[in-house]
This record gives sequence, C-alpha cells and structure tokens, in this order.
Amino acid sequence: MTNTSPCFAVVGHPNKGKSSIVATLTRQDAVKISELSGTTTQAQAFALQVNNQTLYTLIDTPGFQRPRQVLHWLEAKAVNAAQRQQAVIDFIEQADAQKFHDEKELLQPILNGAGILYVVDGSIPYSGEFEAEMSILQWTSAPRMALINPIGGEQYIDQWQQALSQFFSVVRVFNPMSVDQQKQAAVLSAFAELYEPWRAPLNHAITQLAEFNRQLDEQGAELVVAALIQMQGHKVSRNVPASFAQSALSAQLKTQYQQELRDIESALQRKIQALYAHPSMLVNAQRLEVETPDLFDTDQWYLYGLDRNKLVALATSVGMAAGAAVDASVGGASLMAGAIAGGVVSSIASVVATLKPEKLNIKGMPLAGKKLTAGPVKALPFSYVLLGRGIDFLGLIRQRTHADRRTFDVAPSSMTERVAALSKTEQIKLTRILLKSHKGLNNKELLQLRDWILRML
Amino acid sequence: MKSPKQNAVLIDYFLAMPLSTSVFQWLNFRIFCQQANTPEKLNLSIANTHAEPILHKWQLLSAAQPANISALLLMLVSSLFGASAMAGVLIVAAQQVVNIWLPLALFAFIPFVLTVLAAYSSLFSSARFSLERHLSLRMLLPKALANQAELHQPLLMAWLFWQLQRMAVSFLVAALMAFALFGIFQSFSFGWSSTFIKHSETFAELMQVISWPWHYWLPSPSLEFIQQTEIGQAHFNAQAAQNWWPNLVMAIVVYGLMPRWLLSAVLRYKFKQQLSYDIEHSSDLDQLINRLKQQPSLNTVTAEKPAASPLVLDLTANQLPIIAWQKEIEGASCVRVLGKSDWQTDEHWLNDFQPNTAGVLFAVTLDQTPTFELADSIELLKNKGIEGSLLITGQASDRFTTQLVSWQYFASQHGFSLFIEAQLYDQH
Repeated sequence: MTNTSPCFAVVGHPNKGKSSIVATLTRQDAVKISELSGTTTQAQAFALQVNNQTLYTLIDTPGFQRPRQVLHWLEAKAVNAAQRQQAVIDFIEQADAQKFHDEKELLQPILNGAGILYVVDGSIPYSGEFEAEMSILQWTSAPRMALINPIGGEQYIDQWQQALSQFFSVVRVFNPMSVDQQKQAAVLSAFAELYEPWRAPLNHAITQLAEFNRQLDEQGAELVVAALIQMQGHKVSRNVPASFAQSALSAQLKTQYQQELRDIESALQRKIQALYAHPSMLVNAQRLEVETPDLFDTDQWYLYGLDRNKLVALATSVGMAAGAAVDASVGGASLMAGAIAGGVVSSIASVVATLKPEKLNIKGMPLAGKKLTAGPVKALPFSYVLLGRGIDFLGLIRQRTHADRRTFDVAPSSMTERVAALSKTEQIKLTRILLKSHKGLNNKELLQLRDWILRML
Repeated sequence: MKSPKQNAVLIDYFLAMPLSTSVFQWLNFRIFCQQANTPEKLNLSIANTHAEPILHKWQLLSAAQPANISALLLMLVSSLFGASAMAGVLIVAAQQVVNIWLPLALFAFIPFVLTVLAAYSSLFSSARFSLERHLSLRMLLPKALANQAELHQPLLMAWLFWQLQRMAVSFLVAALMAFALFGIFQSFSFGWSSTFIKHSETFAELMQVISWPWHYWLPSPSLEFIQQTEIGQAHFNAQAAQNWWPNLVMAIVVYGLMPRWLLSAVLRYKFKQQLSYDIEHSSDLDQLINRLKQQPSLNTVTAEKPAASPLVLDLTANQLPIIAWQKEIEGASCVRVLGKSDWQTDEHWLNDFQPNTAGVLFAVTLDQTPTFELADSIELLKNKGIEGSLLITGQASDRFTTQLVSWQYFASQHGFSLFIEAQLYDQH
C-alpha cells in the first residue's frame, strides 16, 4: 500500500450506484449520475475536504464490462495464488488497452494503494455472473469491503450478504439516496476496520465530520435568522400627491412588497444550498404569500400548525410577564393586578387581531402629499410563518444526500410541533424576540434565536 | 461558526488594517464571495480552496479601493465647525468681556448632554440596529455598499455611531485648538452675569460643584475672584477676568471632550467586537469554498439524441432462436444460456452455433445491466453473418423507464435492433 490517507476505489457492475455513493460520501453535487449504464468512463478521484483537510478520497470508476475475459486473461498468467497480484499488474501493463479500457481504469487505483469498495444492487437477486469480478478483486490483495445498495428495494439483501461475506471481510447496506449522518459515520467506521493504518485517520474523519455537520447546522440557522430579521424589517414606500388615488397604488405596492420578500427568501435558499454544497439543486416550494385570505385566515394558520389557541396563550403569557414587572416595581402593592391586567389585555388584543388577520398596514402622510408604505408586517402569525418556512427548508436540506438529484420539494410542517421542542419559558422569550425583531436584535438575541432554531430542526 | 483556524485567518487579516478601512474591505470581500462568477475569477485548484489563497487572489483582483473619504470629510467639516464656533465666541467679544456661560454651554454642558443622549441611542436604544431610523447616516456609506445596507445593519450602525463620536471629538478638539491659537495672539477676559443668580456666593458654590473633578490640581474659582468678575459691576477687575481660562478649558475637557472621547473609545471597542462577530458568523466564504470544490465528472457518457423506442414482439409468433443472457427466461424456450459459465466456453459455443435463421434474439431482463461482454457475444455471431437483436423480457417494475433508457442507449451505441416482449410492454 502506497497511499498515506485513506483512499478507496468504488468498483462494481455498471449502473449499481457507484457514482451515487461517491457523491454522497464526498458531498459532491457535480458527480455525474445518470440512468444510462456505463456513464463513468474514466477513474476520477474525489476528496472529502473539511476545514482544508482531506479526510479521505473516493475514486469513482467505470464498471466491469468484460470481467470473465479479464479473469480468463489473469488465470492464464498466474499458476498459483502467489502469482495473482503480479498477474493483475501484468494485466494493466500488457492487456489490450482499448478492449479492457474500463477494467484498467478501475484496477489502476487499486494497484496504486486504494482500498476496494465493491457496490452491488440489493434489489435484484444474487447470481453467479458477479463472481468473476469479485474474484478479480480478490486477486489484487487490496483491503476490500462490499456495500449493498438497495436501489429498488431490499428484497435480496440477505442473499447478497451471504454471498458477499465469502469474498469481503466487511459487508454493509448503504443507500446513498437516503443515508443520514449517523449511518454515514457507521460506514466510515466499517472502512476503518479494513486496514489498520487507516483506523486512526478514519476515526479522526468521523469526529471531524460530526463537528463539521454541527458547524453547518449553526451556519444554516444563522442564515435563517439573518433572513428573518431582514424580512421582518423590510418595507416598501412610495411618495404620491395627496390627491392620488390610493387604492390603485395600494395593490401595486403590496405586490412589490410581496415580491421583495420572496426575493429575500430565495436568496436565503440559495445561500443554504451553497452552504450544504447543493448548488445545482432545483427547488419546488410554495410561494410566500404576504397578504391573501388564505394566509391570514384561521385555516391558513393551521398550515403551519400554529393554531389560534396557541397564539392567544403565548400573547397572554407575554402580557402577564410585562404586568408582573410593573407589580414588582411597586413592591407588590398592586396585589398582582398588573400581571392580571396585562394578561387580560394581551389576551383580548390577540383574540381581536386573530379575528381580522387579513389587513395589511398601509400608512398615509398628510399635508403636501402622502407616503404610502407597505410593511413591515409585525403580526406574530406572519413571523412564525417566515420562521417556519426557513426552518422547513433548512431541516429538509440537511437531510438531503448529494446523490439525490430530484427536485427538492419543500413541504411545510407543523410549527406547533417544532415550538413544542422548547420549554414554556423559551416559547415566551421566542415570542418576545419575534415581536421586536423588525427593529433588529443584538448579538446575544441572534445567537439565542439560532440555538432555538437548531433545537426546532 | 467556521473552523477556528479559518476564523483566525480572516480576523487577523481584516483587523490588521485600520478599523475604518477594515469594515469596507470585509464587506467588499463578502460581496466578492457572493458573486456568481467568482469561482471563474479565482481559478484556484482544489488544493487551494481555503482562506489564505482566496484572500490573496481577491487582493490581486480587487481594484484599489478608494479610501472612504466621506467620514474623513465630515470630521474635517466638524473640526471647522468647532474652530469656527470657538472663534465666533471669542472674536465677537474682541474688546469686551466674554460671558463664561456661552463657552461653557457650547463646549461643555450641551456636549455633555448630547454625549449622554448619544450613549443611550448607540448603546441602549432599540433603534440602534435600524438604519431606517437613522437615514441621514446613510450618506456616510460608500455608494457600493448603500444598496447592501439592509443586510449589514448591525455592523454598519456600529461603525456609524463610532464615526459620529469621532466627529464630535474633532469638533471639541478643534475648538480647544482654536482657543489656544487665539489666546496666543489676543487677550480675552471672561466674566459672568445672571438674571436669577443675584449673589456671588451662589455662583461661587455652583462653580465649586462644577470644578470639583479637577479641584485637586486646579483650585476652584474663589469667592473674591467671582465677585471681581461679575459683569456690569463697578468692582469688575479686567485683569482678574483673564484668569478664567484654566477653569474654562478644564470644563470643556472634563464635561465636553472626555465623555465624548470615552464614548468614542467604547463604541470603537463595540464596533471591533461587532466586526469580529460578523467575520466569525458569516458563511459567505464557506459557500464560496463549496462552489470551488465542486468537481465535475470527466468524460462522462451522455446520449446525444434520444434512442429509438423498442419494437414490440409477440413471442408466440416468434420464429427466431432465443439465447438467454445470464438467466433462464420464463415462458420461452432458449437454445442456450450464455454469460454464466466462463468466457471460453461461451466463445466456443458461439463459434460453433449454426442456426437455421439469419438472426437470433438475445433475451435480457430490464434489471440486468448491459455490458460489453454481451455486445462481444452478439458481435461474434455477427462476424459469422448471423444478426443478433436484443429482446427485453421479464416483469415490469417501478424503474421500467429508467432501465429501458439504458438498454436503448446500449442498442443504439452498438447498432443492435431492440425488441420488447409484448406482454411486458402491455404490463407497463
């Protein structure tokens, strides 16, 4: 073995998901994955770099195209087992380059010191045609493990495990389309079992990746916070003569405001995509509606699961807390009237507000003319809508693997469930922060909001 | 947060510059990282996708940034105002007595109140993060950043508040320097008068309170001195009146300049903190690095045009011999199953095979992978004048379309005819 950092050649039959596995494990969106068999024609190394450190390298290779002919060539060269590795070396040097181009491409990295990751499709039954290529890989004497990729299901996994364990020291099931961070770490641990000199660097890689994923989530949450503050404080204004027909401009202003909020949200999504290394991903998400009956009526609140009762309860708690501060300032002489009054007033105000949620705040200016302004929308339900959309996007993208090239469908989830991850006190604090977020938040509040978003993911 | 090492590189780089310059350099760098064509501009190898080479390349690519002169100009203007204000106070009373209230108010007490208000608005007010509430401050920003101001409000507001205090300090320093300059060439007398303070003793007590901060090294004005410098009184002593200036200067320094300077120092510290926070928590560089690290696959196969759809074949009407590939075919009798034993055995059989027809069908299932070995088998027969075609059989699955595309491409690549069994076609 000549490589110092862990390096694996991903080999196998064409169209069994080798490129998908490379894309997922090296976080590369640009690895070509196609339904066409034999897409990869050249071996190519992809390194996983974290914080300017190469943790390991995977080499995407073409599939075996003529394994039986290769095995026949090798068997003619090697009289006994001791000559097998040399026979493989001779094959690279002497065999017909055009005819055996793909096999030479996949075997060369192995002879250069790469370990072997042999990939099979666990949704089709095992059959003897695979044994020629497994035998060839045995002849290389390289450390090797098998990954069963359940492309179309897991019907035949047990069959494969039984067969593969006779050729490979480690066999694991690995679906590059749906694997989570934990399972990726488990596969890396399995890699570490293959070859003693790689154990320490791969264990180090697992630790580094966990830390890296934590950093990513923090940065993603901070992007959501920044976009939320920006959208909360955003407004659009127009100066018009006093006699100007307001109604015509109102609709235009609302449309412009809505579009600008959507632009901010799109920018957030692009940044999160770039952060999680999914630059080519296509997104299908429900458009942000700032002022439609559907958004502000009770039905639409349920879209994010933040029901009316929850909103009223939270507003009541905030009012009581403010009133309690007044009680404290008079040394309790008010006999908690402040807290009671604060709670009642906030409760009534939130009930009234939730009766007519569809109104957008439009201001006029007297005397020489009017200044029409759309936004900022300070209504609490809207803040939760923005927060929920950001968390939905972040939550889904962090689970997406780099082998998944489908259009990214962002399905809204229940904010009530998400908010339930916080304690009651934290929920009240969250409400307070959201209520003042249109004015901007200090760094401590920004970090607190970030941490809550991480808990709600 | 980024890795500590990456944070350290960025903070060392941007905080090494003068603070006033660093904020704009940092924001320009962020804009650079966000631009779509930055990877092409940088043209860095994968090995160089980290902070130092990127910063170095950015430096080379960035046009020399003009210094942000608007803040400097305003400091200059502020200095001129300060000097002019002091000159105005002194020159107006060229041959007369300057009422001490005037310079005290203009350069000590009002600045002190303004400093307190500035401290509140820059440190405690809820509007301190909102540029919207301080629109007049936008004019201090370079044009290129004015459009991005909404994105970077906390950082820009911290910088703006600091710059305002620097201007205020400039105002007072210039005023003191103007006082010193005029004092070299002219003699000024100061006195006091008041409608409401009738007794010198009251004014003396007031001055004792005002001068308390510096009374250890400069005595407070005595009662006798106060009595001698009351304007409009017969016992006014012009000579004594020239000795007001030390206490006047101390009042300007202690109530005007020092609080303002202290506030400026605090705001500078907070701005530096905010800049460090912004650098540590910005992910623009990480997003750029991810874009730089994307490695497109080399020389990958793509279908140049859609392959022809397979022809439907009813097996019951089939007259051609069927050779199965790697597995038996249900519902059809095959003359041979190839691909299961060693290659030499298959090769020998193919060389010996002599059908009665001019063609044969190679039966495969959708879930099998087309390989060159299958193509080689078909080519062996073709060399003998026997035309081999592909026949797709078996059961349909969820991946029917995906798998069919592979077989269509394979058939078109090698020039084979492609058939699909009628039953399978009907299932799909």
